Amino acid sequence: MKTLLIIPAYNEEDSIESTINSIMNEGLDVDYLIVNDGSKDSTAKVCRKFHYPFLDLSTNLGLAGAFQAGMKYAYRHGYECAIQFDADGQHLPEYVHILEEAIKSSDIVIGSRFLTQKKPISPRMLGSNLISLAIKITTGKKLSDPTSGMRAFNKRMIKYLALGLNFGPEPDTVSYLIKSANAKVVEVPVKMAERVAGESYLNPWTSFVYMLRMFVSILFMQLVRKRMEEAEK
Amino acid sequence: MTIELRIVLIGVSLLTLLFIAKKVRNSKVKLEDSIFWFCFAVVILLISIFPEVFYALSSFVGTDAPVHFVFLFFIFVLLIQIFQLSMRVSQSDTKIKELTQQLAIEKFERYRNDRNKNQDKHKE
Repeated sequence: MKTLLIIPAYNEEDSIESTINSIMNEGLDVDYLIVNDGSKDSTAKVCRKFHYPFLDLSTNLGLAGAFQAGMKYAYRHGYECAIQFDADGQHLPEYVHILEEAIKSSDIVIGSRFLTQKKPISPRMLGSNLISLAIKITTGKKLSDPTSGMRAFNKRMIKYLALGLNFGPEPDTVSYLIKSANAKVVEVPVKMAERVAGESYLNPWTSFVYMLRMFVSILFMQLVRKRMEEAEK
Repeated sequence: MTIELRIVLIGVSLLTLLFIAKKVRNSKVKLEDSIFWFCFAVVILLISIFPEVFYALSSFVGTDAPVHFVFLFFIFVLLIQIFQLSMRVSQSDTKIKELTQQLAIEKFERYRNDRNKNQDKHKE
């Protein structure tokens, strides 16, 4: 299967090399593409130095915009599977082939940290539970780890995510695709590591705003959107 | 708050909700941006149905009439939103400027590369 790992990178000069090395060492039969999201550090320089394939965005578009750039590339080059992969070393390449295997019989695969393990009790996990609840209410689908950033999309989904507005790589998009495009979503158990270097986007306040946004978006805004077939006409 | 004002507020918030729903439905607005207006309309709806909260807040702050506090409150909310919007506009301006400059430089470089290649061909 033709698979592309999309690796959005914003100021990841310290971790990008070890992330790519770990992918290479795994001996995966996949292509990868770094999307440098207008980094202020020397991420682009590192990519050039080691001849990594990468898209160099001239300005910072944010995660959604950077990921969509990668999706557009996947769509134009006819990839059958696109996997969202973090540049900071949190995602482990040994789980990529599990996602690849599962995508053969589904539309979206989510690498879940909490299928085999119990969720720890923390404010962030409370938010994660709220999002799970919102998705359960609106779609009837139970997702144990909706905020996991490790997701695989098949060819049909790649088209939607590459061309549409409001298809950021977030849980509300997943809930919309379940409802409106009859997407089949499967979770597979994965483990994640701590980030190697750099700083996370999320501090307590932005996490709170993010959770609130997702909750309102899933419960209310996704319901008024057109169904996929209608939107395509 | 008079009953007339409350009815007007209910009407306005419902219209706002409908308007946002229509724009989201037709993919005219980004979801992130619609969420503010959704919450805004819901808050107006709630205070027109349950104005007691604002009576309490109003007597706490000491405004002449509860409706004054309602105005003050929404002026502040809107001011914050306007400020964030103007920040977004500035950032967008900067990004467009950077993109245009980048594109112009790359166009020129491509043109120069093409010309050099053509000259090489002529020499051969």
